[in-house]
Amino acid sequence: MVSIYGIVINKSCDGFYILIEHGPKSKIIKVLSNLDVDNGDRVEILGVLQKDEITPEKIIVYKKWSYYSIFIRSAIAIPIVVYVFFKYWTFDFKEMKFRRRKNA
Amino acid sequence: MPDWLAHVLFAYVLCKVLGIRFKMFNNENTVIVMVGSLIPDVVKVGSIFDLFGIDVWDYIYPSHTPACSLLVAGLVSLLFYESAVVFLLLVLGFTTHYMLDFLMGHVSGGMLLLFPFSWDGYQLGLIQCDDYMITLILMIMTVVVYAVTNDEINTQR
Repeated sequence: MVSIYGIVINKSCDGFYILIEHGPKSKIIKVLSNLDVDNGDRVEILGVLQKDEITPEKIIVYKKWSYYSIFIRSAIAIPIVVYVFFKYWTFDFKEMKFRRRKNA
Repeated sequence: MPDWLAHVLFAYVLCKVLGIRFKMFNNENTVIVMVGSLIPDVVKVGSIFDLFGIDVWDYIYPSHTPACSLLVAGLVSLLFYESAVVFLLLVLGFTTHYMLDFLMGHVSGGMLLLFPFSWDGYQLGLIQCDDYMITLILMIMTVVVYAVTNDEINTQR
C-alpha cells in the first residue's frame, strides 16, 4: 500500500493519469477509478501500486480552482500581518532589533 | 494546511479572547502571536524552488514540525529587544498553527508532531486542506471578537 500525490493530466475510459512531480524523477501513474476529475485537479491517493497503475482504496481530490484559492487567501494575509506588525513594532537600525512603538 | 488567513485570524481570535482575562495579550503581543502562527509554513519556501524546477521538499519537509518551529522562533526572537517574551509569544503562535493543521485529513500520515523522536504522523481528518469554510468561520469570529473587545475598551474609557 502506497500513498501518492499528483496532478491530473489526462483521462481515459477506465481512469485517469496523474503526474507525480519529483524533480527529475517525475512520473506518470494511471489511476484506476471512475471518479469525476478534471485536468489540473490534484489528488491524494492511498492504494495498491502495480506496474505504473494504482488501484485506490482512498482518494482525496482538490479541485484546481479550490487548490489555487488557498494561495489567494494566503496572499491576502501577508499585507495584513505586515501592516499590523509595523503599526505596533518598529525596527531600530542602530541595534538591528525590533522594539515596540511608543505611541502605538 | 488551512490558508494563512485562517492561521492569522485564529491566532488573533485566540489572543483577543485570552486578552479579556490576561492583560499581556495586548495588540503588540497579539501581532507577534499572529507572526508566530505562520512560522511552520517556512516549509513553503519549497514552492519558490519549485518555480526554478528544483525539488527540495525532501530536505525541508521536517521544517513543518514543532521541533524546527522552536528553532525558527528562537532565531526570530533574537531580532527583538524582549526576546524571551517574544519567543514565548511565537511559540504560542506556531502552536495555534499546529492546532488548526491537526484538524486536517490526508489519505495517510499526518503531521510529524514528535519529530525527530518519531516519524509517526498525526491528524484528525475533520477538514480538507482546501476547505474555505474554516476561513469563513474564522472571519466571522474575528469580526465578532473585534466588535466585542473594542466595545469593552470603549466602555472602560
